[in-house]
Amino acid sequence: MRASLLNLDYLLPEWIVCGTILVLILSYLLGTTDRRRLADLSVLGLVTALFFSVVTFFEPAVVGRVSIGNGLLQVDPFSQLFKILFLVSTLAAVLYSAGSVEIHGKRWMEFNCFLLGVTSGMMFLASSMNLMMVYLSFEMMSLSSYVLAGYTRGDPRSTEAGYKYVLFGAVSSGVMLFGLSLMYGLLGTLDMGLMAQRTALAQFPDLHLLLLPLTLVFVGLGYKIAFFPFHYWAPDVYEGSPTPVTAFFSVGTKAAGLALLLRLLLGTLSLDQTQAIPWAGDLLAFLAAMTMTVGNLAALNQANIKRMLAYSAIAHAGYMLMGVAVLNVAGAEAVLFYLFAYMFTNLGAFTVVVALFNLYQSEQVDELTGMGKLFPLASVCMAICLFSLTGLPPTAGFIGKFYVFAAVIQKGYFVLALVGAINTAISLFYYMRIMKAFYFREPKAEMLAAGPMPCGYNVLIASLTVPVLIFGICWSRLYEYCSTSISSLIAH
Amino acid sequence: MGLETLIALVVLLPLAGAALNGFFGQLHGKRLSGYLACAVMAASFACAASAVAGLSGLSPASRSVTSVLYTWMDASSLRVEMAFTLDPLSGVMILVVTGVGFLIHVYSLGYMAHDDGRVRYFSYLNLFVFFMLVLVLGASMPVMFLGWEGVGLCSYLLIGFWFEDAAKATAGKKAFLTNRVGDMFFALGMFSLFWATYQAGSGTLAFAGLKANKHLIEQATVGAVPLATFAALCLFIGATGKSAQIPLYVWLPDAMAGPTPVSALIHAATMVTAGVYMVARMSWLYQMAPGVMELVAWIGALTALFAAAIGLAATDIKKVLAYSTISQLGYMFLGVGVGGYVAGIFHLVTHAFFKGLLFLGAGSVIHGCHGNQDIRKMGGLKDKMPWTFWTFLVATWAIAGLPPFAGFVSKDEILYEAYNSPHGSLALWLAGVVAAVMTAFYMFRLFTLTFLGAPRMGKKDFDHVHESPAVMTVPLAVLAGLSAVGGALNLPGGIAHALHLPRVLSDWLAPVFPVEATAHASNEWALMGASVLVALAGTLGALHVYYRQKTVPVADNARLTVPVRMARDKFYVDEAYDILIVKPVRGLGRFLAGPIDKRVIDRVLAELPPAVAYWLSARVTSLQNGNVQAYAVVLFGGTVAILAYLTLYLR
Amino acid sequence: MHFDYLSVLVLVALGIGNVLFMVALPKLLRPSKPNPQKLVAYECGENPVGTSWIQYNARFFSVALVFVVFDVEIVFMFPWAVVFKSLYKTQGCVPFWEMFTFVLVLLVGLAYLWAQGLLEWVKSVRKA
Repeated sequence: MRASLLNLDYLLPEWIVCGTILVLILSYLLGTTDRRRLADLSVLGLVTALFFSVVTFFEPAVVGRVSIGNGLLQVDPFSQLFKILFLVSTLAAVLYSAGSVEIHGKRWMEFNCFLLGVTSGMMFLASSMNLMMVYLSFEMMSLSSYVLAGYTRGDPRSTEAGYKYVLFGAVSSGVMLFGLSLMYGLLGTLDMGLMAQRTALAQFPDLHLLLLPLTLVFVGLGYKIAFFPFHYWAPDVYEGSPTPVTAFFSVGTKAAGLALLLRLLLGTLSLDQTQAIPWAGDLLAFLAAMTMTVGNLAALNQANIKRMLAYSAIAHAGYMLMGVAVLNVAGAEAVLFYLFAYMFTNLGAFTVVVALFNLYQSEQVDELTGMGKLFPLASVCMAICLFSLTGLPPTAGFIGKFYVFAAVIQKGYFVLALVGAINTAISLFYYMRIMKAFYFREPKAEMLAAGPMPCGYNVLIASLTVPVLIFGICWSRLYEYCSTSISSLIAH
Repeated sequence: MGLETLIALVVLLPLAGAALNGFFGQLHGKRLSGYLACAVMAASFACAASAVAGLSGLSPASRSVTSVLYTWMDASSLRVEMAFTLDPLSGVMILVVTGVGFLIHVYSLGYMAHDDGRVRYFSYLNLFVFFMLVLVLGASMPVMFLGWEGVGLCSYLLIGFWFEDAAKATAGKKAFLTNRVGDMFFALGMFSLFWATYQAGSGTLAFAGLKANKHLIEQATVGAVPLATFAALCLFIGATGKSAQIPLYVWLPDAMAGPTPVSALIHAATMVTAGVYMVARMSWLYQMAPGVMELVAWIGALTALFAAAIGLAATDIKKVLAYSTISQLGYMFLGVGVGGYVAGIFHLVTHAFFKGLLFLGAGSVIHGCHGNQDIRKMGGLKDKMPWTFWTFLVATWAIAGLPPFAGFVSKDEILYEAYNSPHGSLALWLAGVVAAVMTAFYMFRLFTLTFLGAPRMGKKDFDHVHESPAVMTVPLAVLAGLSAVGGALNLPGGIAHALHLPRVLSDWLAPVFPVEATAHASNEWALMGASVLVALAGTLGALHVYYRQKTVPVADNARLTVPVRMARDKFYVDEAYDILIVKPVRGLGRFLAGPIDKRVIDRVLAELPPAVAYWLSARVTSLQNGNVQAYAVVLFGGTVAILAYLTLYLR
Repeated sequence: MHFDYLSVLVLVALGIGNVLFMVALPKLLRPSKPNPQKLVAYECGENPVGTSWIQYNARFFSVALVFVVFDVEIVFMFPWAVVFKSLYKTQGCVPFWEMFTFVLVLLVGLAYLWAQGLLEWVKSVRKA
């Protein structure tokens, strides 16, 4: 393990993202106000960062884990995989919000900066190995998200969303900080690597004292990942935020929270190997079941497609939490794979929603009828994404669910698996309701007046849907990468 | 180009063609789609030929090349790769599939020239070839099963191609559902084989792996039944579905609702032979289950007889050919059932030639007669459609089993095996011989009624009859050539020995079937003579009845003798299935739907869960009141609840 | 049961109890004679006007934010400045460039603020 203050070159992706923010501001000051140009700059920066993330994922030094800043950050395949996830989501977000009517041209540059700010926060969170760094990056991520949630100035729903997000986020962060400080007090160090050593060697016979701090930290994470009972902000915030932002939240910040959760539970506390905290698994399983159920049941009643997708995001957090609940390698790998599948699927579905909103300014399922006739490509891709969200073969969502369920059943949580299965069945109903509106109803007369789907959106939707299909047929390679990441996480 | 690449190309080129036509067909138009499909097939055939040529360059013991595309599934105990293996057996199959497939594609250019849906047609046809190649080249059972199901799907799509006609769509459904029953058994057989190897710790479903572990399968049992028997039986039932044997053959006659080239490709040359291929591929398994082999042979023989009997009385040109196909498939199963694997595969190859030709010829006739398919209304087409006439004659000559064309050689080989093989018997041979007589008879009946004699259609219609264009007759000619000389592929032992010529197919397939081929017996010439005699008898009998005596089959509602009536009505098998299976199931369904479903189950299971779900949903969303302070309260409440639970738990 | 912290528990209990006591006792003892003058909210002798839920000008907030950011920047610069000499001896120019980058990033932000007109107290025409 290379430890040096000057390992900063391994942080190249973060450098590039932060640099892009500066470049954006500078170019704006120097006169570039064209939306396309600024979008190109962001995309360029993100693609470069993505390239370097991929390169560092495979580098042997990184596989052996590189420590930066004397233990503040750690670059290993686990963090790089998550960075790839974040960068892809942000890339998609920039691309589909470039044409979105909800983000006005005057504030486009700032929007990009905030998006990149959230991304850099997430990237640092994935790499954090120090409790302070954890909190710092968590807040960096959250503060930018608060602004993004309330981005549409004139819209009261957006302001309300931002406001609720801030309040709830502040409370949860406070609770989490309290938990982190208690952890520091108990384990005597801020460094998560040292904490891992101390808990592994059972130098702390009173490990069950970690009960309180862990619960509090869990509250903060639960807020970010949006699982029961900390998810109540999510439907309101997701519905009120501009749609591009909602899509980004449902994937990016959720993944960041899961990265931290996995690192804490499996990396630092080694819960996969020790029985130090025996209650953890059952508790997580219960919360996972509740989250799934609440998310799926609530989605049944929704008429607003964004709110429906918001609840579905909560439900999927529940499925992913199932994979965390088993507290072993198989579960963690399954969660990672599920995240990838979920990212492509959700972004694809939301891109369709963004595109339709641009054309019709409507989010009600009842108003968006007959889309199958008007926009065949987008509707087919939406169908594929919805099938993947439900978990039907041959989509990536099915494979993700398969691995999660396999891990759960192998661990013996049969009731949990049964709850998951019932929930999957319930979810089919509300996903198919969208399909019913798209294909089995006629388009309303006023719908025909709007123009065709812009070519760029078609390309974006298709390029997000193709991985969903590909990973449904040929997924072994991706799963291998997830395995590599998890093994680097739990190695000490 | 390496062999692995060639193998992959053979499979992937048709897929590319299907995708290009399927997704972008509207862009490049109808004519180009046809050319694209044919070009893809030609390229695939070229790759197949090069691959087989390359394979022959290897030493016979090492003639097995596997091309792995990627790892398909890797669960902890099962690892399946998307891999294709080229060995002598699959080499033969891919040449037949791509070669005959190419000819049929070219033919389709002419046949479907006026159909609006031909982009879709060519896309489906290419997709079918892709799945068939996956089936034949699959290196493991799941990959073969993928192809198995895929060809079933494409068969459904193509049978119901003109789906606006409800009857045609129903035919497609019938094919798919009947196949499904068979597929279920196939899957069962597959699972049992995996289970046998998994129990001992080396769970695999690759053909090479299973063969290497056959001692494990030999020892395993399912309850009181040896596992080899169980698996072989299940797989065979799957084969009866795909290859239209008793009892799951009922879909094939109805499948004639599809376009005729489809019938030629799928229901004569390729898909229906999948079952035979599967039995041949698993020959080592069947060697371990002699009881099942006997069953296979008997079902083959009985099917051959039964279908031939129906064919004697059928009046639709395509239906006659359909029953003929079922009958010939019976022969193939008879061949592999008695251990004559080479004979069975040989008949598969020659059957592809002459049956494909027969169907294409029938298509040409139908095309020329502007849609008429009833042979009672044909006749005298000999001069109007010369190319069709002569090629059809060659095919009929071949299928009747008259020397020296291919059908005689392969059928004789099967009958020889039926008589002489240790698994065979006199009874089986007799059944085969009787079926041969019937085959010759009904085929020449068909030929005579269609082409010879005086025309029986109205004068106006007869004047409109014309020969098909070259794009349709050239494939006919090629196939006729192959039907004529195809026999040279595997000359009878005696003749080959006498002329010092190699038995090409036997030698080629020797590495795959190390079973002791039935030795050169002394009664070979006698048996050959018997085959010729019965074929001649059938032929001359048909010519006498239908040419000399100018008998014409009467209308369906006329008074018929009992046997003819029974044959005409297909021995009431469909009706029997209807009474025994369909009606009871429907009746049970109605009963369950009425009093039980509506009153009880609907209330409890269908109305209650959604009502509960929606009620719960309302309760859940009621908590979501929009009040942030309330959310924060829930957050704290949740935290306290968790802490309380944990504290109490830890006590 | 960990009796080590019993004293803490007792302290907490006493604290809470004390507060409760000090609130409850007067409530029980005092007379209850409310009149409008007495119930008015205390506003340093002034008469309260209107409700307390007013909208204040957001420029207070943005000025405060900008101040905090640059104040923290200076706070970070202090320890760096103190040890700079010894750092220069061991690591050369690197610490300088590190701080330079830090200040540069904030300068870019400042430039943006300036250009957006957020440093003007009197809002004339807001730049786009």
